[in-house]
Formats: sequence, structure tokens, C-alpha cells
Amino acid sequence: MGNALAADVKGAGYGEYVFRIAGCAGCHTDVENDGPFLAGGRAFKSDFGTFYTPNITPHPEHGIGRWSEADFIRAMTEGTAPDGGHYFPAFPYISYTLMHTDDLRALWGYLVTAPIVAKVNRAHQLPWYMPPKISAWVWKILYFQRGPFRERTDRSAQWNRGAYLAGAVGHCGECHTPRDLLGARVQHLPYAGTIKGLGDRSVPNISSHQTTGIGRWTRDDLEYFLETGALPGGDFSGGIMAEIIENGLQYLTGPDRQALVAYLLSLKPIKNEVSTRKGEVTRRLNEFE
Amino acid sequence: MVTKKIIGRVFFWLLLMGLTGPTWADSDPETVIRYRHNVMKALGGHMGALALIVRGRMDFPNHLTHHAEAVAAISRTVIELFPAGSNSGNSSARSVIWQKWDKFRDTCAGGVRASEEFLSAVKNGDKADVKKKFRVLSKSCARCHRKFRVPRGG
Repeated sequence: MGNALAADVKGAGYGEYVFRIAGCAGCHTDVENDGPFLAGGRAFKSDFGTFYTPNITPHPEHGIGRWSEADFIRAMTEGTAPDGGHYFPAFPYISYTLMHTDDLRALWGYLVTAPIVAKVNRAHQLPWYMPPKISAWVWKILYFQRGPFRERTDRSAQWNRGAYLAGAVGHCGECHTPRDLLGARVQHLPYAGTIKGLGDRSVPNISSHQTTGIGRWTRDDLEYFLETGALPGGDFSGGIMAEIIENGLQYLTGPDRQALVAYLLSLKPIKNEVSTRKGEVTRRLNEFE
Repeated sequence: MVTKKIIGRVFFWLLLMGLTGPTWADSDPETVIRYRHNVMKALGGHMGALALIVRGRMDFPNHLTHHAEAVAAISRTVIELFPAGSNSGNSSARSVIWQKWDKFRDTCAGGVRASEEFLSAVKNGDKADVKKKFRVLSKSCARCHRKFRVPRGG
């Protein structure tokens, strides 16, 4: 995201815009328990235990108040804490590593203005065979590939922008791409959805598959969805996606929304029926109607 | 005297039944849930149709009022669709609805207001206002689902 966008962002600074699209508020605010803004504590259950998001307000002891901009950029792009510790990929640095430095600096500039909250961080609840420091470090060795984002020369500027928004800032693949037994994204199934998403929720297939993905959606459908959460059949998205739209994606500028849509509709079709059985009703999550 | 007493008692009970009417207690929870699903589906159908007209993909401007009136009418009944004990079985209603009933009620009231303002905009015929008010209405639907409905993924 270049500075050229700043002029197009109405009523919000560039840093706040990046903040919204990056979705920080959703994870780092415990909305379920009316937690303070960005003070962390939101729980995400997974097959590897329950992860609690940290306080990222500028509190000097419990938050990022003593961090430097370089510390922040290192955390986002390397998954490494100021003390040298390694983060679990529940913090999506796998995607954020692709972010441009300008965007990271703008994001940092916004975060340091957030209200300070003295909320103590909660330790993750992990099984005994996953000592935090070692397992995060090993996981990174096996799976982490450092950025930056590289544009494809065979694609348009709009497509590349959409790819950047989806793959880096918006980190859509972190939820929408299924993961293997060790929690790494399955590379040959990008955005194909999963029944075992973070927070123990199913996540829809948003590839362009006609029946199991969003292949029947038009550009207009998808743009409207990203703006309002309205599905083509008249229903409205709930849960985390609704938060992501309300807190972030609804603020996409027109060109950015169009770029994101163009990219998402270009994804290769992957047949993957993601459904969940609830009572006697099997619900398809990409329900068009 | 005895006749007057009897008439009085009969009148009292008739009055009571008339005031209270048939109650949810007369229906089993599964039926209540099924009814709610159908009403919500109807609401979604109208919203989906409206979205196509408002966004210019269907040229039925004369249908706008019908759908807007339906949405406003149904929105007013939403709060009644959630009697206590109706979140079992096949329901997507989160228990927080009843734990935070005041917030749920306020959210429903917000939806009613948004639907009425949209209906007003439709009747006034200002296209820009119709689009704007529909967006507000859409967001009120999304907000309620975000807070009070189990995500579609379970």
C-alpha cells in the first residue's frame, strides 16, 4: 500500500487505515468479555491449545510501550519478540512479513497513539509436549519464509495490489487456507476453507470453485459483501468475519476493494466442501442462496 | 347473585385469555425454532431482493416499497422470536441473547429504526438516500448476527 492511497482515505490517517485492514483490533480486543481496546486477552482455541492475544497498547510493562519501531517491525516481519523469543504463528507474522516497510511504520505510528491499558497478559494454554519457546522456534525453522512481497510481472498492478491486500495486510489465507497436522498452511489449497479454523470455527472456501467456493459470486456481490457483510442470498455473515468487515474491510477505499475482489475472483478453483453438521442440518458455509 | 358471580368469572377468564392470547408455551421449542428460521429466511429473502434492486442489478423500482414494508414489518417482530428456552437443538441463537437481554433488545430496536428509516427513504424516492439507508440497514443486520448468532461454521 503506497502513500498515494493516503489522499483517498477519507476521515482517517494512513496509519489508522493500515490498522483497520490489518485487523489488529479484532484479535487484540477481547470483545466477548467487553475487554478494553487492544488490551489483549481474547482466546483462540486450536488443536494446539488455547492462545491468548497480548496487550498491544503502549503500556510500558504489559504492552508495547517500551518497544521501538524496529522492535515492532521485527515482530511483524520475523515473528521475533524484542527479547529474542519467538511467536507462535497464531500471530500471523507469516503474512505480515510480506508487508511493506512504509505500511509497518505507519501502523506503528498509529498503535503508539492508542489508549494505554494496564492489563496483564495471559499465558497460552498449551499441551505439555509444546514448551512455548522451543516449539515456536522449531516451527519457524520448518515453515517460516521471510518476506517481502514480490509483485508478479505477468499480472496487472490492480491484481498485485489485491494480492498484497489479501496475502499480506489482510492475511486472508491465515484463516481461509487449511493447515496440516503441524499447523502450517497447505500450500496447494490456498483459500480453500477448513472445518478446523482458529477459534475452532469452520471457515469458508473462497476459491473460485463454482459450487464449493465463491465461483458464482459476481464482482458486485463480493464488493458488497466486503462492504456490508451481506451474502448474495440475503443472509449476513456473522462471527469473526462480520467483525473483520465491521472493524476493517468496510473501510477499504474503492480502488483497494476492487483490487481485492479482482484478486480473490482470480483464485484457482479448488473443490473443498466445507460444511458443518448442526443438529440435522448440514450447512454449507459458502451458501449462495 | 350467583349468576352474576358466574358471569363475572367467565368474563374474567375470557378477558385474560384475550389479553394474553396463545403463547409460545403452547409450542414446543423445536417448532419455535423452526418458525424463527422461516421468519429469518423470509427477512433474508427480502433483504437479498432489495440488495439487487438498490445496487441497480434488477430494474424493479416499484418493488422497493413492497420489500421495504415487509422488512420493516418483520423487523418489528424479531424480538418476539426469542422466548426463553428457544436456543436448544437446531438453533443458531447464542445464549448471550438471554444473558444480555437488554443489549439484544437494544440491537433489535436499532434494526427496527434502520428498517423504518429505509422505508421512509424509499417512499421519499431519493435514490442516494435509499442507497445510504440500505447500507445502514444492512449493517444493522450484520451487527446483530455478529453479536448474537452462532457463526455459520458452528
